[in-house]
Amino acid sequence: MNWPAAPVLLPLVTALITLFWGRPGMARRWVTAFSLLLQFAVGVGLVMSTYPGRVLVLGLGAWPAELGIVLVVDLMSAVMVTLTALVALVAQVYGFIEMRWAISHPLRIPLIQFLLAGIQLTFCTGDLFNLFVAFEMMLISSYALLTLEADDWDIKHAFPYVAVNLFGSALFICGCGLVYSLFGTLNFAGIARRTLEMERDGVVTLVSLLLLLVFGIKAGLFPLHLWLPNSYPTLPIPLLALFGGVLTKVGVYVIIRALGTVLPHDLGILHAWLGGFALVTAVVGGIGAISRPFIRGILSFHIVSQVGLMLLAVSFMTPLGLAAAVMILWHNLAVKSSLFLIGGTAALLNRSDDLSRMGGLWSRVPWLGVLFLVQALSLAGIPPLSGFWGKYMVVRAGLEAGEHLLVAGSIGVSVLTLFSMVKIWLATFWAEPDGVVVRVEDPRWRRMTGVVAVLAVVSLAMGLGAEGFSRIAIEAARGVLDQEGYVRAVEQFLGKTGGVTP
Amino acid sequence: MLLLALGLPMVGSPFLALAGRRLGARVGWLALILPVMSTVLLGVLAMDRSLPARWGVELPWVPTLGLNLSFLVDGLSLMFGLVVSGMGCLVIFHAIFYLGTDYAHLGRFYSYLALFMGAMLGTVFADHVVLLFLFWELTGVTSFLLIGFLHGEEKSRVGARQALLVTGSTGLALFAGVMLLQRATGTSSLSVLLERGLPWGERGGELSLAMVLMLVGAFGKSAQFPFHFWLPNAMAAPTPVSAYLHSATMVKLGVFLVARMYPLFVVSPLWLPLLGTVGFTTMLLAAVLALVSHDLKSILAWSTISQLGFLIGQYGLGPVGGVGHDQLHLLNHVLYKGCLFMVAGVAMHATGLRDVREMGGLFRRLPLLGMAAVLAGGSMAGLPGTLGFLGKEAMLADLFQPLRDGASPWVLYAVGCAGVASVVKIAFSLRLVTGVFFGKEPDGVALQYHAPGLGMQLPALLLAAGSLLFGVWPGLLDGLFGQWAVEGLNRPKPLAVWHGWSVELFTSAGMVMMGVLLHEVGRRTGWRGWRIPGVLQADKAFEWLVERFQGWTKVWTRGLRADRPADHLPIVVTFVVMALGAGLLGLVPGLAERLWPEDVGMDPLRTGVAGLIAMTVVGVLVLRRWTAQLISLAVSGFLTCFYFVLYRAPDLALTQILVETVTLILVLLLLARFPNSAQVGEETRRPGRWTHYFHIGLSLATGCVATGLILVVTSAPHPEPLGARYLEQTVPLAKGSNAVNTLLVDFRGFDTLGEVTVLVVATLGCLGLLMRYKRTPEETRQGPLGPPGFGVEEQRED
Repeated sequence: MNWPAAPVLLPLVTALITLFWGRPGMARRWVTAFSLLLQFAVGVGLVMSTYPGRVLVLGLGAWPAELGIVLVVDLMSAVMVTLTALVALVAQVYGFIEMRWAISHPLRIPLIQFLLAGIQLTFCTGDLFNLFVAFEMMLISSYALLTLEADDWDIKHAFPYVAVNLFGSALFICGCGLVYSLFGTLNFAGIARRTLEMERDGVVTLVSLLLLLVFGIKAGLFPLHLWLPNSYPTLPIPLLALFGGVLTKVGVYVIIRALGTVLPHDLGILHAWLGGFALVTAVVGGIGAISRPFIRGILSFHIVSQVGLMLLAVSFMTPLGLAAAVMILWHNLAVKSSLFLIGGTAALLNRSDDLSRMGGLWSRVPWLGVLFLVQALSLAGIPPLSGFWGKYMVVRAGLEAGEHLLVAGSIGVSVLTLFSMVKIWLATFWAEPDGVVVRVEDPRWRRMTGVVAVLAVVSLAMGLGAEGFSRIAIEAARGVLDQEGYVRAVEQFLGKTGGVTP
Repeated sequence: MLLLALGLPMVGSPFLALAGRRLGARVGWLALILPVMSTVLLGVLAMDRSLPARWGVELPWVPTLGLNLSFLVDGLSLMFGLVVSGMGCLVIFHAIFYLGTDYAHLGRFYSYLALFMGAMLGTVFADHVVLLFLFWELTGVTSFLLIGFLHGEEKSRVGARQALLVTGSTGLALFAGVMLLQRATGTSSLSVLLERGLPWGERGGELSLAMVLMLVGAFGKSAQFPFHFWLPNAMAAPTPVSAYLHSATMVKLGVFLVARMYPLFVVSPLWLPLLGTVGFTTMLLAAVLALVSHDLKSILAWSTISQLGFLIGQYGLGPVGGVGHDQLHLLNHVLYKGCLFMVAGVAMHATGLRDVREMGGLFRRLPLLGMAAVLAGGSMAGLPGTLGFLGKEAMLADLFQPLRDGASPWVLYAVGCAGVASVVKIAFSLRLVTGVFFGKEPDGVALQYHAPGLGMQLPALLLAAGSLLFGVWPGLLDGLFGQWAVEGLNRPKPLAVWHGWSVELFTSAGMVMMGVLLHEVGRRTGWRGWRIPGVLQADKAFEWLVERFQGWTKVWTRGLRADRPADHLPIVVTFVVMALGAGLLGLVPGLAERLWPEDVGMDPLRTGVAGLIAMTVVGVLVLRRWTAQLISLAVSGFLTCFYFVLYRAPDLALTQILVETVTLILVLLLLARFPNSAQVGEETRRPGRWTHYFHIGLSLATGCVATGLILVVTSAPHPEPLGARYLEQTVPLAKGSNAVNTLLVDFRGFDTLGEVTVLVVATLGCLGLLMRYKRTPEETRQGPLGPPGFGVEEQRED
């Protein structure tokens, strides 16, 4: 079974093909779209073969886990792979519609594929240093994309992104070194086994704290989030959807993976600390979103807020809490990126995404409005849309864990979200100010709306078909928390040495 | 059958929106089918006496999370369900004529209305408490859409936002409440709870908290003090919507919830104080505000709030076994208020006026409507011959009963409020009816009058007739109320028109006289100076708060340095250093010994290189130009290569040199492309001396913490590292004698693939920067969106 490598290799190969294709043209776009479709299909295949609770392990070079690098795909990773491919597909096609091939940047397509390779490797890897490499692939591609089509002004706002994340990388490599010196291995399963076996003191907690900080930078935990809200809005809309929908969620995924699978479960102080900061993150993000007068800014700040909610749920460290985090994570992947795309379409119609210069969309383009309404209310956690179920589970898990303060906070944040969503809705769709023109004659918006509808359907399905959605989430969370099962699965992979080293 | 009654409006709603474009105004008739079918189905259910008093249906939906579509049918839900669907028929019928062809997007309108009706039915029939919340929120959302139906007007948008924010956030309190209830009782089914009762003994605290939270939800929805202000602004919606949502159904959800909770929570010591004060305060306050308003719909809105206050308050007074007349009050209010709203709608439609001071003398032109208005107004005032008279008698009887039993301060307060409010109510009822229908006809009316059709008036006439019919023969209701009585909630008493010469009758008569007197005072003064005092304009205060809050978020976000890119990295580094430093001090036992390892080997070569690196770092701090700083920093990177050489890993050294070079070029390019001059309006500040010192301190602290971490971790007992295994296995397994080489290209070759990719991408990134990509004019025209406006947004000069 070599499938675990497919999500990484497919985009890598696509990147190389599109990079060396000769001239830019429509053919490149077809290849990309086809490849993304294939990646999505692979993701679906992986989900089906990992549900329920099976773990696929692939040792690269057929080395056993202790010598080589293993790719490990469980249900959690598989779903992340699938959703990422889907979001990428939609964002990419949206980008194709937005700009004719003759005027789009030739490097954008290969760089997105490199980025995807990095992201997918993050989900699939079972090795800490390999995770670092994946992060590097992802980050360097994102730097390149961030600056690719930027003018001088954009670059100024992109700089903190690069600077802070470089610092994060440096910190990560320090963390890798310390983990190696502490556990003697970098393999997830190896670390997990040794934490289960060895006698621990505060040093393990300290190193975990370091890793958490690293991933916190990537995820956008307060006050490490500062790089995010201003740099993201400088991106073109399709990239913004990809970044906003997927990139920060990678950080959350890694935190879930690290706290659930790799590190010991009894890091009490650390979890409490995470919970507190997560709540602050959610509130700060919500308030920041209200302070922004343009759609991209509002949504970018909301990323921070949502990340706070997810980490809040993670901090309970109960199966239900983790399942709640997983649900919010998946729901956000679909909803957040589609909101960016909807905002982009609205901005295309109004020729600006500044709320004071928009309006009149509800009477002209109701379908876009319906999409926005569904996704925005979902983000605010209005039942029975997909966002509600995550919130419902967070509250349940929190009450079970006795964290009344965190629960109250997480409910209160919904008001902030609702507020800023209503703000966008009123200004963009309902208001009819003089002098604002809606360019309905521009044919692109129809196709864009159609593309976004795919994501909306996915999120609606998550909401109304909550039974299947929650069952997968609970199963995935259980898999993440099952350290012994994970270790067993990895150790059963014997590789070409047959498990014995001469 | 129940599911069909609930599901039809929900499922039908999107089709209405689609059909709207094709059918135009005729879509209303299509929409009318849905409530009629629901009403018929529910009516059949209600008439079916073979069913038990309380039964339920359950469909699996999300069993994993313990949430199914479970519905509960008893007297309460049937009564509310019939009110919702029955009023739905009348209102849609009314709306077909009222809206006519004057409005665009009628399909959407009926679609919202149908969805709303479905959500309402879902709420009243829900058995699962979370399901109840789910439909509850849905009614809020549809109400938002309906209030904002005329969204071109600023007033509608503000009203819609207010309604959504108030009911939405109080709805979240309800959510917290039901979750707590679920947690405390272990079940979420209302029917199970009603059978078992609540475990007050063990989990009293949690239950009390849950009760307060749920009541907050109810108060928000029913526009009770202090959330009362949103309802008058919600009147920006078309009048049929106001009649349906904001008087007959949605705002009664709070009353419904209180009634649902009544058998469970009435034993709580907080029940009476909370409901009594809130309910009766609202009753009095809103009645007074109704008298001093002049806008027709505002008067009705405030009077609705007042009556809702009473409805909620009377549950507070109720004895433990059940209240006597809640069904009567409810039905009464539905009949007369629905009628008055439609009357007001017709009057406004016919004259184009809203201010009651500018209207008058319509009776001659619209005698039928005038009769309906007189009846409904009389019912509101509680005059004999109408259902309202019975309601008032019952109210007074219920108020005097606890007073005779021994008065608690709460009851006294309630009696006082209710008494004054009733007097005021009579006055504004009188004013409403006489102001619109009698007196001299002002010129404005004669000028703009156009006759409304009979179809528009019909529902109002029906409701008024109902009020009259039941008022004269109350015996008709006895059987119905008896059948719908819910154990623990209702104890219906037989109704009669004539109770004898009782205290209630005399009080009632006295109130009427005082009310007429009050109205006379108002009329004499020409209602000059009668307006809502500024202190009580809570909606203004709310809007002010919302504005201030938005302003404050800007200050706050700026205070968190979100708009100062230069501060981002220092803040992040400071936080990391502080967290790790605190971790070092707090988490590690025996820190001091660990920081001073026993044997420190000093190798001259390594020490020398370390010294050189240190010098370059100092150079970064000392040098003034940023290019020089950057190069000095890069030198330290190159010097690090020596370590790889010392450890005999030349390929790593090579990689390091490559990486350093690429990084240097990338950062140089980035910085070189920084705009020189700041944006217009952007704050500019050169970093001062202290910032410089702070940065030096921060760097030193980072170094110290890093060193500390390394020392502490290496001093920890660690298991056998894998490195040794690699050294052993490199020759037999990988057939190579250099362990670093085999590690890089064989054992962990995949990492190398990744790193190579990173280099390729970095090159591409440099290429991208070097291309200095500029948008062509065509792209700028077509392309994305131009600059996002940040906190300090000004237009920029390109």
